[in-house]
Amino acid sequence: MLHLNVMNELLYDLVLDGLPGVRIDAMLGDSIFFLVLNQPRDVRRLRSATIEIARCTTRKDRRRGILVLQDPLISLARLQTEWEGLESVLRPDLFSRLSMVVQKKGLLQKLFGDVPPEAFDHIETVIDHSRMSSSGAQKRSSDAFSDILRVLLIHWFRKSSPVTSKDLGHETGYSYPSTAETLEKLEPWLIRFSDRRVALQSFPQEAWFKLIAQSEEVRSTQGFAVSSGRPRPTEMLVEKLQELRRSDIAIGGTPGARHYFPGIDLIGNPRMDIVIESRSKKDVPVILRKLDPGLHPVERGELPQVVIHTLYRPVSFFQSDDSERFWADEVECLLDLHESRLEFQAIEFQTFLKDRARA
Amino acid sequence: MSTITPFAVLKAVADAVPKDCHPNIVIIGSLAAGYHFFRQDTSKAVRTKDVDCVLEPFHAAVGTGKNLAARLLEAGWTQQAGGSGNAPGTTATPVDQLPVVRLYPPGVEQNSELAWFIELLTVPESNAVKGKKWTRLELQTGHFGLPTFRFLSVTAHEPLPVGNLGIRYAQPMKMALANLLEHPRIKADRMSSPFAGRSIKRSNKDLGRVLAMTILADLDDYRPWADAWQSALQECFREEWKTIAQNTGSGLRALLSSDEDLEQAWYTCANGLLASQPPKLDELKTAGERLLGDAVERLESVAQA
Repeated sequence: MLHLNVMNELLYDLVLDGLPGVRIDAMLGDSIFFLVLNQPRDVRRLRSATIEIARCTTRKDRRRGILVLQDPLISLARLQTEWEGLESVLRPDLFSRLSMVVQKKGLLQKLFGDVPPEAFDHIETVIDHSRMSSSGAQKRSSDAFSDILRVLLIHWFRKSSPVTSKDLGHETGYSYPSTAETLEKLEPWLIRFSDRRVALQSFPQEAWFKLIAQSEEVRSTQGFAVSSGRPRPTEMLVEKLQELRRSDIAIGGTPGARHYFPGIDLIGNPRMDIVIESRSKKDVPVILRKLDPGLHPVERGELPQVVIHTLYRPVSFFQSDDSERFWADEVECLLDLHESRLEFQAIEFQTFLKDRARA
Repeated sequence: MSTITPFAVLKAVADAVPKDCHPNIVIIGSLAAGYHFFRQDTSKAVRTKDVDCVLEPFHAAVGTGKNLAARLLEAGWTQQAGGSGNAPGTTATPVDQLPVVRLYPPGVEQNSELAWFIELLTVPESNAVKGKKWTRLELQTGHFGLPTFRFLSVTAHEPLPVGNLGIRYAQPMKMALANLLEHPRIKADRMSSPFAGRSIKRSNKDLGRVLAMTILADLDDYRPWADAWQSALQECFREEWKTIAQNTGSGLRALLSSDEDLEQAWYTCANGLLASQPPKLDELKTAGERLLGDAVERLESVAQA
């Protein structure tokens, strides 16, 4: 066990002296302990974790234990019941030093007990660390094939010059072997030039269908809605996003499709799609609060009013207009239409983009 | 509580009081909010028993109060009866123990569920006034008190006309600000009488009204409220406005984070201003989060800059 007097330093993955078998995810200073459960679905695991974190706090009065539930698959009502159950079996002085934080899709959803104020700022960091530890590395939801395909499509739709594998690597963030492997899979739709540059020569329909099927996963799609009350009009949300004047966030969805194809047969905007660069993902709660403080992550089956997609590649291909609005690329907007189940409009937009590419 | 139609009551008040008092009267509270939001819909009523009349400016309050009360009493209005607290005082009565002027219209049975009365208040004498203060009002029937609260001046900031009746009413957003400032935390004290049969913390009732007005305003964006609030605070509190503004949202945050207090606030809304269309508890919470995010935090950040 390390002995530290640094109050605000976080240490990770610790085993405490005298508590064999109890591993904690992080310790802040020498008195606040974090244990993170990622997507817990099992109440028994929840109960054992609460006992583990409680044991950490037994040895000194000023110790506090925080159990963090990341995207739990257990309902809030059930969590409430479990929390009340814990209260009934623990000594009051011990129970008062425990808290449970429920986070869903990056947003704080519920607090049980009192979280020490100094611990609040570190919860996100602890969750990130835990997630990385559990997966071995920072796993991006995206994959080389879908990312490289999307970039090739953007170039094709925009009639850009052919690109080298090195260019693609720079734009997508993938190594040469990954890029080469993807290009090999896309060979039937590629045209290769003598200077090693490549470009799409036609629309890769089969690969596109595969991408549509995985769209939500590869773009880490997160939906948000106002649980009760009147939703704010999408147009107003677009205006508010614009006011943020951020080049790392772009408007997609139906406004985006309309930006590229004003003649699209579409009235109104059923939802707002936002594309955000992965480095800015931590700002999602702040951005949502600016748009509509009433927004919360959607529950299963609930229709989202705002949808956020994460872009993992280094080059965003966002376009800005005279009003300093940033627009997601054509492929993102097209995928948004599919995700919104606006199939007719998606086909119409796709046809427009293909015709433009071939013209 | 009485269920009353805002315009009808305001007209009765305006008709009864001398015309030269009209410019000094600002109606506040649920009746003012009800008039603002429901005046186009005569089917909507407000559940209240008191018609709060703020007399302003302060230097005219005593004169207006005397004139107004004398005229109403002559016309058959009656001072609230019952209880030693309602009996008029004398020159010997300390000012903070004087009864409030509460006058019922002629012929009204005061104990009736349908009865309503007007209550006289005044704006603070200066922006240095803190807490609740009293001003002596000597009427022919005895001594009364005009109460004021520190933030009543905010409610009387740029009031709106009640049609062509000559009297004015407080803007709901200004009343919301006054309530937010008046309750920087959820205080333990409860309303003097049960609210729709329940004992309710005054903070929850007043902050609940803030949420009710937020819902009734039904805006896509509450940022304009922050701008209007800033103007009002700058005008009412001069150099002190920033210190005051920095604390605008603390009570509302406390309300939204307490299920028990929020439920009480919801109960007052569902049995008060929002009785015609009671909201869900979640809806009330959403309204609070929107007000905090759009307006309160905007004001607080400007004040902290």
